[in-house]
Amino acid sequence: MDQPASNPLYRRILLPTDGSEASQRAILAGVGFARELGADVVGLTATPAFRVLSADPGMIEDTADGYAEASRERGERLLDAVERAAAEAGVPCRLEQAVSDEPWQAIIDTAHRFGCDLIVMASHGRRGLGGLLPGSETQKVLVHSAIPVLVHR
Amino acid sequence: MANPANTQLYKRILVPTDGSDVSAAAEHAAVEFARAHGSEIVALSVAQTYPTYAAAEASMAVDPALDTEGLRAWAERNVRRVSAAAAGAGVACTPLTVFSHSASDAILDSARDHGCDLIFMGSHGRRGLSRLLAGSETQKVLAGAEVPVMVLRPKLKSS
Repeated sequence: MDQPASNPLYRRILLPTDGSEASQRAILAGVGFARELGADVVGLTATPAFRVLSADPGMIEDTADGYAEASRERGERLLDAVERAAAEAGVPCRLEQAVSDEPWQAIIDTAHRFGCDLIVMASHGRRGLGGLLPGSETQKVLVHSAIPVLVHR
Repeated sequence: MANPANTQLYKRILVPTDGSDVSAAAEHAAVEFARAHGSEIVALSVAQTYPTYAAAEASMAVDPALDTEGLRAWAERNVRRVSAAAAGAGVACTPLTVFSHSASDAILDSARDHGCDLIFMGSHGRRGLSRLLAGSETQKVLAGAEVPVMVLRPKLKSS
């Protein structure tokens, strides 16, 4: 994993997921592309930081520790999908959980930290309607990312 | 290690161009991708007509034919830039110019009509760079595309 493949295109692909169907499709497409290229993948999920005042029912009646634990378990479930897809395709895979209120920032930071040269993601996530406009997190990644973003609908 | 000659994904790439520096960066990346991946390119420039201005132009006695020829020449010049880059890299390229009121509709239609399985484009077009949202035509392509879209942000002068 520390020595990326030597294909001339992309060597390490970041696969952010929020558990939506669209991101699930993007994961499968990204892993398929990685296999074709001989690249490896990094699966990422971003969890919002704990807040006392929140509209998220998972936070309201919880403590910071309980929330962190629940978030970590949820993140692990989401990343399982990346790990399984990569294992089936024989693609080397690393998994990362970020705690951030700005998923787009976590996506860009993680891409840099892991030396990814491509991001493959869905055009909309769980909060998006899908169809009319790309999701806001996706758009922020597009306008801030210095590396290319392959967007799947 | 994949052999570029035997790859299945992304065999025919639609590369829309509006002749801007921003789209030049996407064109360059697309040609590099196609060369490394063994893909071919369909280069598209949309000669965008503005229906709402037609009446105003007529009232000002502007010859619409002149405008049309100018637009066509502009679009062909844009596409030639991509064809030349592709030829230099040994990549097959189909040049395409279309008249349309909507660049995004023309891009989506062309991708479908020419069996493209990937679209390469800038996050913004020649109307400039916003740090908040992708360009409106790019957004429409992302929302309507049946195939994946490779989005490249233009290089920022400040970074």
